[in-house]
Amino acid sequence: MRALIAEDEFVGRKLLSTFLSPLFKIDIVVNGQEAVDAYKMAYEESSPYDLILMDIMMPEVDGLTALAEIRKFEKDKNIAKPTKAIMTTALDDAKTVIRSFHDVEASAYIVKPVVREKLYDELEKIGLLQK
Amino acid sequence: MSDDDSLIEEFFSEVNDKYYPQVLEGIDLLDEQCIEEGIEVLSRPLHTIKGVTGFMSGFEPASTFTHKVESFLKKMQAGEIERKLPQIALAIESVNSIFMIIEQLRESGSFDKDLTDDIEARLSGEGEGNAGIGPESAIPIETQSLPEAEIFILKAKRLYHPDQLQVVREALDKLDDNKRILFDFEATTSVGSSLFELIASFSDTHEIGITAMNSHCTGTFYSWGFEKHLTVYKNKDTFL
Repeated sequence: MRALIAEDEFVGRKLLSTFLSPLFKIDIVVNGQEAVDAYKMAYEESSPYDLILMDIMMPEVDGLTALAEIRKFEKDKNIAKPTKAIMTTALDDAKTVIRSFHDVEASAYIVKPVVREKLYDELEKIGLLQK
Repeated sequence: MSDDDSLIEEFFSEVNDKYYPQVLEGIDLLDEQCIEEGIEVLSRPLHTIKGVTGFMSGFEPASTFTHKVESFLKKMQAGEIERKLPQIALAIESVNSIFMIIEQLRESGSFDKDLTDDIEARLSGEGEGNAGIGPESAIPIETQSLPEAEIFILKAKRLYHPDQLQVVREALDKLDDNKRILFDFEATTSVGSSLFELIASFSDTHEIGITAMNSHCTGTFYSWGFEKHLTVYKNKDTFL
């Protein structure tokens, strides 16, 4: 399985890749625009991502905007099974949580700091991990 | 106000303003047997309810239940579950129950687990191909003729199936005009809006009352606006 980590902080990237590397082949990007580009490239190579871990506050293009663009791409291409996306963010205000699920169809939402157990719980809930 | 309180308040405001109207539209489409369109309309609000309640402390059971309803609808959409009236009725009952659960959790911190267990068992039964009604529900009503009124006692725990509705219709058809009729819901756990619709269709020729509905039946009754046609009574004595 393939996973894309979109995270602008070095320590966050390091941590998430440590947690996910036993389970996924990982690519890492540092902002929302790169996430969209990487997603499209993987689709065109017929090797789409099974999971995206998307930070929300990132430079250039934020995580919500990037995921909205990915969802639009999926819709335009009639992709039946949208990629599972977990928002990983320091933001836990009500509007951002609700927007993540409603507007961009996030699969799960984790407030930082991300710990392995919480991440694995969410992966299990969305069907990407069997403990 | 804590972060959790703020999320709960914002969530319920969105539920009332946005998701509930979307869900009613989706249910109407299912009721009209426009399955694809109905499930499409339902998918966004249900996904949001599942996700946000999973994030709200104390509302996790609503998230788990919504996940099961969502899976059922996806299977129905994929053609893995039949799209006949019993399955459509179960889909509508399940979706209505999500709103009942989140309201119960908000008001009391607990929810009617017997009801959700019952629905979950039926959702998973349909997935395994066990459609239809059980023998205990085949005769859904018992009638009592009093000098001043007819009492219809609902006997089925769940009343959705067209065969059950037909029995109710036949019982109503037999009555002369201008009767006073009371439907007693004491023994019934849940009914579809189609039952109320059927009863209401006789309200021009009869005076019809309803009594002893539980919260689930009450939710269905008021959310579809049947109080315009039928009167709710506290008990049988009040009606008589």
